Amino acid sequence: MVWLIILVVFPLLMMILLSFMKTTAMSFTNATFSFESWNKLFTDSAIRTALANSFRYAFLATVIAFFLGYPMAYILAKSPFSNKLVILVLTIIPMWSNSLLRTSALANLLSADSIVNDLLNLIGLSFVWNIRGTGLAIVVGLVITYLPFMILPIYTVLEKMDPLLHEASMDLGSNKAKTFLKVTFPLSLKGVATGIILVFLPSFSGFAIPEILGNSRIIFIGTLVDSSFLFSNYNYGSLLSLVIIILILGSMFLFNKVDKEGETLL
Amino acid sequence: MKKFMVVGFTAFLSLLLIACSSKPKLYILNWGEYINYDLVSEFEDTYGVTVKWSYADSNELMEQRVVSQTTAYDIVIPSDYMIEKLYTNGYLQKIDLTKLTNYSQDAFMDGVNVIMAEMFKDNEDVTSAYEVSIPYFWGVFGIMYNRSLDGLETYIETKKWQVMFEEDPADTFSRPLLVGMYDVPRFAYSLSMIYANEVELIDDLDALNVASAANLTLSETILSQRQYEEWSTDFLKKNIEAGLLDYAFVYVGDFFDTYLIKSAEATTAQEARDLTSHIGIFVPENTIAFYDGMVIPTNARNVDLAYQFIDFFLDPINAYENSSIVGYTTALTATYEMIQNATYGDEIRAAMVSDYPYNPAISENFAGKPLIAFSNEFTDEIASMVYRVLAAGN
Amino acid sequence: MIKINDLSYIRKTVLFFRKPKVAKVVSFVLNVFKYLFFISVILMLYLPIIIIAIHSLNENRSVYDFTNVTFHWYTDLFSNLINKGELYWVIRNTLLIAFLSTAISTVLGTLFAIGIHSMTKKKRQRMVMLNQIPILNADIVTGISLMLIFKLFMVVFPNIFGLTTMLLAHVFFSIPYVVLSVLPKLSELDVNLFDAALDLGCKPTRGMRKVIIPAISSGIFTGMLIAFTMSIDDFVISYFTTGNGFDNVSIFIYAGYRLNMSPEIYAYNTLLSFTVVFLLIGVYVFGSFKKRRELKIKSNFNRGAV
Repeated sequence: MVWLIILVVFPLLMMILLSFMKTTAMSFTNATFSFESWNKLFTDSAIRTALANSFRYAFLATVIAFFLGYPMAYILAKSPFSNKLVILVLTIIPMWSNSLLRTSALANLLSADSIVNDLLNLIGLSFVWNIRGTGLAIVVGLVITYLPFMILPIYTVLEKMDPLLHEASMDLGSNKAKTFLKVTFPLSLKGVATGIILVFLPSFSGFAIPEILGNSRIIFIGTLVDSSFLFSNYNYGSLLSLVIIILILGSMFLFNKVDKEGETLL
Repeated sequence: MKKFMVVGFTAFLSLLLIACSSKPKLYILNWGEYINYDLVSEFEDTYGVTVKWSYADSNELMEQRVVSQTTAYDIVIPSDYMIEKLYTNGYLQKIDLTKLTNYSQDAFMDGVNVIMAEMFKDNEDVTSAYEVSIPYFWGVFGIMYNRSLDGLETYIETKKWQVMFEEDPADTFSRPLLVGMYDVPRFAYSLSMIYANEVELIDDLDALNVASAANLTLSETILSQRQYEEWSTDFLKKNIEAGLLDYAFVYVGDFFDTYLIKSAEATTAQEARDLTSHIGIFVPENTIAFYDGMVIPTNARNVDLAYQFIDFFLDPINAYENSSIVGYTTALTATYEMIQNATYGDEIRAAMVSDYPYNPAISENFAGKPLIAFSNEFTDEIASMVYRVLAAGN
Repeated sequence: MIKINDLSYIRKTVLFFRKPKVAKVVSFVLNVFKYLFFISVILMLYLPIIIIAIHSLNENRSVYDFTNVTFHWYTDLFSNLINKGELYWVIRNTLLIAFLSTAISTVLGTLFAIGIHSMTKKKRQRMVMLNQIPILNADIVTGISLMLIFKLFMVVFPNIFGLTTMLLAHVFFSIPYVVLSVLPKLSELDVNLFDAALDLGCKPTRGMRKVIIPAISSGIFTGMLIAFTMSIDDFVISYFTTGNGFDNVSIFIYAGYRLNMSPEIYAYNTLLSFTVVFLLIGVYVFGSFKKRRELKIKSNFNRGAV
């Protein structure tokens, strides 16, 4: 347990240290203290756009994933299938294929001329949805990629839910809709919270999907972080990563305060 | 489920143990699909060694691996500016050319010699750039385009680099042009400097290799002049071929690569030409040249083996078989002649090479300049500049 | 007396839908919609790998044109695997790391989750925040920081980079996902059950095995699935924490995609996905067949007993 804490805290401390310095990559030989990174943070116009984009698209993708994923988990949990776990695993198998190939496949589909269209033409049909290079394509890509991560935790929570609770509520005079809203849904919030985290976080800090589906025209914060580290500007990269962590942990913290029992995110 | 995992675990563990052999190992860091692996097997059998491959998809990632020294590679194959940067920072050792039996002063194509003469010319420590790296593949950058749009070919051939940076000409085309830019900030910057010199915004033929704040601002203005449909690397060539882009700034090797893929099913040169008639490439006189070279890091463990490997690929016949897998231009004259004359019956390649002879030295008009290394800081600043340009378009 | 005609239209519609025959039709239609929805979403999730499958059967290497159906990429893949070519090594590395890291991180993650659950509320919240950080961090940050830490170990173990470091890295980034999946289940668990087991004379480890683990088994299973998924497709972290020629499939694909990547990779991805899909369908069909037989035997037995 202890060494795991070290593994998490040590890099954090390194990052904080680096953000206040100016080093050549990782060597501290010519290191000097400098506020250069901070200066860049506040003056570079690209950051605000990047943060706004990341937040906007990750949020959209999460909301859509929720409205698709919850019904999926619900239908599966309440279905009379004999082996539901099997079907659950079926949803996650696409994620075992390489994400670069999958995203490129989607980009292919969402272009003006795709291989699918080619095949469909052979039987007289056609499908062209040329949204590649737009934010919509990115959202579609994010949803298709991370939806299983929304379904899985919600299903886990719904599946073990005591059916007697549902019956009791119906017996006490509630109708189906009210039962759902007042009994089932609140009890499943923990799963929902996990699902939201698992979809929002990679959508927010990823860069491969915006790059391929957005033709690199729409900048995400992940792109900036990646580029900084790649060009050995560890100082600025560390600072950006810290900003992301503070933003998200901060919102989780606030959420905890607002949440009455403070139990949802645990 | 648990039983399955235990069995799987043991199975893999035993596989792992079986796989360990006692043959000497050669560690090479290379681009993906950038070598003929059958040839490598031949090498392994001849010398009784195992080659362990590591892959990288960009010079920067290669740099990270070499600089971090987490693995002591015996051979690395980076591009020109990265070779220079690594050598200047002390990560590479000099190559003893006497140990390479297949090496000779005139083994390489004229264009390669021109590039190598530019490299390290200011470095007194280096007498010949060949002491630092042995060229592997090389080429130039150009504009690849899709011929289907009327008048596009003429437009590109007259305006040259201007087509990359200026607004669509009014009333010439029936629709807005779809232009792609190569998504490596360094290339975009250097190209914009070449353009700036051509349209006389500045007067410096070497501006592409000058790292100054003034140039950076100028570059930002130039890159903001028009909207690009796509910024990417490997997709540009595919999208041009598919007609999703009109033209883009790419490696000439990308064009050759696409040509060979499209003509894979052709049996005669004419068939190949028909299959690729919709794509074309144009290289303006002033362009960026590049080469990828084999280098030996300072902490290499198997230096003698490394020499044998480099020597093996300096053999023109081996190089010929190697270049039939990799689409880029070979650096050896003898090999190039084998391709040109279809010595081994490869008509299609011979035709392709004669239709598109892009070697900086053949035509006096060509001035292909290799890129030199910028400092990490400046490269990072270029990247930030490009992101600002992109963000402004959001 | 209130006549039917006096009732408002809303009430009339509601009563109409409550009629037994109408209700049956409505519920049938809703059921059909439910399953249609379910299947459409599944199809949507499978779209990318279906396209990859199409690429793997395409004679032409161009990604936009389909020329002919061919299986020769599959035969190429198999000959590469049998001859221990590059694909053999990267695939073997990927699967080896995926299975090992999933096993280890599931066990460790479950233990941590149990540990975190038994903490006081304030401490628990802090640990959860700490747990989220690796998930939050961009891959490249985790990759580089782990690389730096492992570099320190290089002093003692000069050849540590490779299998060992990649495995450690994968375990490190998988554990938070396992913890995240198991914790919610733990909070639903009735603590009294565990206490009861202890009171009845169970040793703590036995109590854990027989009481706690079964109750949170679905959380563990989910965590295991997510850990496996994250590991099998990781690129950036693997890139920085490996060495000595131990690359995985993702690194291989990212490196080769720029040039003329052989479609054998599409064949590999298709095989990986669809083999497991068919296996699972087989398990499902076999399982439900078994269940039906069991039910039949039971009902025959009951009838016979009477």
